[in-house]
Amino acid sequence: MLILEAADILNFVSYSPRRIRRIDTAAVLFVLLIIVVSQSLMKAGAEAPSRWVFGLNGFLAAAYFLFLLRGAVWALLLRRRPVSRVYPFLSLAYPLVLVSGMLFFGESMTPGKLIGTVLIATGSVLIADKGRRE
Amino acid sequence: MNTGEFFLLLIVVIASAAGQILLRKGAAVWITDAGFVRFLKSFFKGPAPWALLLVLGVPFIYWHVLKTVPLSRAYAVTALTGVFVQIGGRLFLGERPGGRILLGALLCCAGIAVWGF
Repeated sequence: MLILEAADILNFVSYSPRRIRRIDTAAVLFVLLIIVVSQSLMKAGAEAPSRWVFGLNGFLAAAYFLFLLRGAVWALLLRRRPVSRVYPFLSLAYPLVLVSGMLFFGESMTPGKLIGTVLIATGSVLIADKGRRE
Repeated sequence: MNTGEFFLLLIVVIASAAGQILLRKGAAVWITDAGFVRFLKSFFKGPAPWALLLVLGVPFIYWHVLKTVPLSRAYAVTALTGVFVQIGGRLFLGERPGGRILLGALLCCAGIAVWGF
C-alpha cells in the first residue's frame, strides 16, 4: 500500500493537503518501524551463523533490504518535508531500539541508559534544527 | 565494549557522516533538468559514487560490531553521526552550525557518556 503511495508521489498535486499529510505521517512511522526492525534483524543476523558470501545470512539480507528501502522512503519524504519536521520523530528510534534490545536480546535497562537515551534523542532533535532555517 | 569495538563503531559513524557530506557535495553538480542520462553523467562526475559506496558499505562493519556489542549500546553510539556531519559540514562545506545544533551535539555526546562507555 505504502509503496503504491510512494510510486504515486509525483501526482501529489491532485491530492488534498490533508491526504498528503496522512501519507507523510504514514511514511515517517514506516521509516521509524524500518529502523527498529532492521536494527533488530542486524543483531539477530550478527549472532546467527554466516551462510552466504560476505558473511551474510537471511536476517542480514533482510536487514540490508530494509536499510535500502528506508533510504528510498526517506529520500522521497525529504523531497517535500523539511528535515526539522520529520527528523524529531526518528529520534524515537533510540528508546524503541533500547526496548527492542531488552525484549528480544535480553539486554538490561538501567537509569543511566534511560537518561542517556533521552539526552541522545533530544540532541538529535536539536541537530535537525538546520532544516528549520533552510 | 572494548577499544577495538569502539574504534570500529567510530569508523561506522565517520563513514556514515562522510557519506552524507560527500552526497551533499556531489548534489551541487547534479544536472536534474536535462533528462536521466545527463543526470547519470553528472552523478558520476562528482563525489556522489564514493558517498554511495561508503553508505552501502557501512552496514557490513556495523553488523560485525553487533556480534559482540549489545544492540542498544551500538545504536546509541551511532547518534554521533549527526555530530560528525556538523563537524564535516563546518570543515568541508563551510557551514556554520548555530547554537541549537551545538547544544544538540553536546547533548548527544553527554548522552553517550551517561550510557557508560
